Amino acid sequence: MRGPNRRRDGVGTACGVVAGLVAAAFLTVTGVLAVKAWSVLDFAFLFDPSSRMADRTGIGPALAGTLWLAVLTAAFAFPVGVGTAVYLEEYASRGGAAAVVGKVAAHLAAVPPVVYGVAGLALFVRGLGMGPSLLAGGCTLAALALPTVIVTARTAIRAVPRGLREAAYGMGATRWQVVRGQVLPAAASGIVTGSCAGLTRAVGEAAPLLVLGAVSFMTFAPRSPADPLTSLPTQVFAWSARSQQDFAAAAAGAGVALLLVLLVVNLVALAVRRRLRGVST
Amino acid sequence: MSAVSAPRAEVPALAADDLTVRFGGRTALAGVTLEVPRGRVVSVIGPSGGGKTTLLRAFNRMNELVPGVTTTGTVRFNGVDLHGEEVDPVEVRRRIGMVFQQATLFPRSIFDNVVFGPRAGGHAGELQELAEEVLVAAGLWSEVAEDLDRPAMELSAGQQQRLCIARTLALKPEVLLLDEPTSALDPAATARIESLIHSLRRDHTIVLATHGRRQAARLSDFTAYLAGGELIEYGPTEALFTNPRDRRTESYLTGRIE
Amino acid sequence: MKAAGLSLKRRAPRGPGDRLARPVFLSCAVVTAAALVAVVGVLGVETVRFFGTVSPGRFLTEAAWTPFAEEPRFGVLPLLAATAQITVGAAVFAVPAGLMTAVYMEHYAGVRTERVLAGVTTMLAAVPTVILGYVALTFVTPVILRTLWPGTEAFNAMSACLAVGLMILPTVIVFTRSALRSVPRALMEAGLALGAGRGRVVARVLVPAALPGIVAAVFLATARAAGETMIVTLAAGNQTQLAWSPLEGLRTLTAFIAQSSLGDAPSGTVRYGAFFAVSAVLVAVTWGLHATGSFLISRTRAGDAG
Repeated sequence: MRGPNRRRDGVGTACGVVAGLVAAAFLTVTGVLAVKAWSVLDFAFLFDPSSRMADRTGIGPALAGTLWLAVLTAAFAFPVGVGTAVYLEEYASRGGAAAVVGKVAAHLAAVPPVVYGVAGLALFVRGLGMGPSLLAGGCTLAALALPTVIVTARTAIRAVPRGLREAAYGMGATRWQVVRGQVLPAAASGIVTGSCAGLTRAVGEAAPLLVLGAVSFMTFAPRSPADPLTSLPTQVFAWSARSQQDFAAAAAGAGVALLLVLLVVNLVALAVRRRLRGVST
Repeated sequence: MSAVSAPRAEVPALAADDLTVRFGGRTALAGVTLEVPRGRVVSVIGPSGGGKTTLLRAFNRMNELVPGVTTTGTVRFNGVDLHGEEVDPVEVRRRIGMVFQQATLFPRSIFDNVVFGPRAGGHAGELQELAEEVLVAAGLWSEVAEDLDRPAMELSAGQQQRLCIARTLALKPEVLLLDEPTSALDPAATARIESLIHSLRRDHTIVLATHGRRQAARLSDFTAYLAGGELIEYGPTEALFTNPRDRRTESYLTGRIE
Repeated sequence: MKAAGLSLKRRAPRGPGDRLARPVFLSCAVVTAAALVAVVGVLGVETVRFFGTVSPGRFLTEAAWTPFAEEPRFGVLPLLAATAQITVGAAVFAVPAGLMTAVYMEHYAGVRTERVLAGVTTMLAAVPTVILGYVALTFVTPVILRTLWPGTEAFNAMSACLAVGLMILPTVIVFTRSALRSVPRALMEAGLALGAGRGRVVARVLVPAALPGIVAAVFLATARAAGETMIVTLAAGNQTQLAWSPLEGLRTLTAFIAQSSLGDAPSGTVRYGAFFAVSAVLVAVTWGLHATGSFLISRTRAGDAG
């Protein structure tokens, strides 16, 4: 006998098999992607521009586009989202306009990403005249990530023990000193986790960018936010949707690159969290 | 080096007049009027939920940090209305220091905890000296002198509470508000805190909320009995304990109300 | 030290942090509010304008969606039906699988296995949906479905349902686990003490006790499924028809928006407005599901506390 927790029975066996199938399904997804991408993945593929020939094409522009989008999204969504969360939790009085903003933001986290594309087209591409550019894509993805960042940052801030705030206020600290010295350090790890989750979701999205008018054929890598909108997810879509089988490998290659970008984003967040923990103790 | 230009002795350090505090619909303090004489120790006793903590927090404007609170009536410090137009709550909390029931240390070193207040206030002088001075005053110096850089969380519960007192002393407050400082401690640690309070009374006006009737009797000059948000009785400790005027006070003191 | 006197006025001037913090944080909140108003506003305005031309009655009752035809017809029902089909189909896979996985993780798995499964759940949640769509199109349909049913169309609802189901699995698992965890341990122990087997206690006591939370998990997961775009666009195809077999293709609300190159529609036209009207329907559907799920969760939490 091992622990009582490990004892099996009919229900346990069935559940175990299903859990195994779930894990197998995940491995299948990554496996299929890796196998299909195997033939195209090399350094040239990562940096080459698009080509009409499947065996010559590369993801240079799409990769650069996704990196631009990640930076723009983080640059817009993180400060605004975290700042909003701090304002709502530490400065705003209960009720009133601030409460409405908080509630609406929480609900907008459930709005499908593709809808942000529709709004982004009207607001950024046409309304503000950005055209189908990386900047318009970054703004749209930032709007998409914003509710997630706000909701998770608020949760992290709320989890800071009240005693910590009161102890600081009780010792004559000003509100900013309490926020800067106690609340933000204690909530930092949660804020980073949430921001990273928001960024990961946004950067992996293809649907809103498709609606904005992302291009999937570019002969040069974008060098500024004003350059045409292109990205890895929309590249995966464009190559998958083509009927020619030969682009299937390129699509898988772009997918692998996308997963790697997301992995790097998460590793950076992990490293930042480690550092924060090291500093706070 | 008192920071106060000696107010007239007859002006009480703290005076609440018809003080009422409500949290949402709940009344925590109902029309409390009481004076805390300068340089004395006043205990506030009474059942849990009777308003002890709320009264202490009213004395340094901590209640207003709770959403949905309403305060009416006045609180005066050295004769100055705490809610007056020009009064800065941050300044109030520096002059009227508070030690909380639950010792909440900042997740930093012992030293950083002690000098938190002075640093927050932009203290210009030598922090090392100040830290030693208040740690000595709090009776903690001999135990922590060697490892001021250790995380404060590693101290024992009793030491943590004394560190909380030390860091409040570092503000050089005129008044100390102690909210059940020994409720979470064992008898030995409690005894140390009590002798510490006894030594602090020389330079401070002290308001001590306590659950322990005997602690109040041992430490204070005056005692207030607070129940259901009302001030039932207030007077010299000895008189209140030996000859309570109100039946409710008497039942509490004899242990019939908890 | 200079005597501070009786005054409680502000003594030391506050640093720039104290003066700037509130306005800076407030302006962040204002930017957020502006973004929310802009997103909701533009959807609302364009939708209202669309309904100025096409009556809501026609929109909700007509049985065909052909906005680009010579004589365009704007019946949203086929799209809505397809979305419902995909959502329900995905739930059919994901709910039992997610429930059983959650039960296994909570009550059977050892520490190691549980950690591995939790890791898989987290990673699965991070996989971009376009990748799941790709796998549905290039693997699930040709390799799995065509082996089982050789007549399967290249674009079909079944592969999309499988992939969307996989996508919402993490949501089901995470919320079901927290529902299972909120069941008092004593309940399980009481059942075991009465001599019932572990499996019996799990099936007859624990899962029923956690049911409100599990139902909430289903609502939250289906809210995501209804809004999923890339999988259905890639795997289910683009036929605006009411498909009756899961092995045929269909087109959802989201697939219409993603595939019909809204970018080419001139602003202000009815064609352009159609995208906003479809978006509004989509928001209404997903918001309804999500709000129901959130409400159920808040109610179960309140129940725990009380």
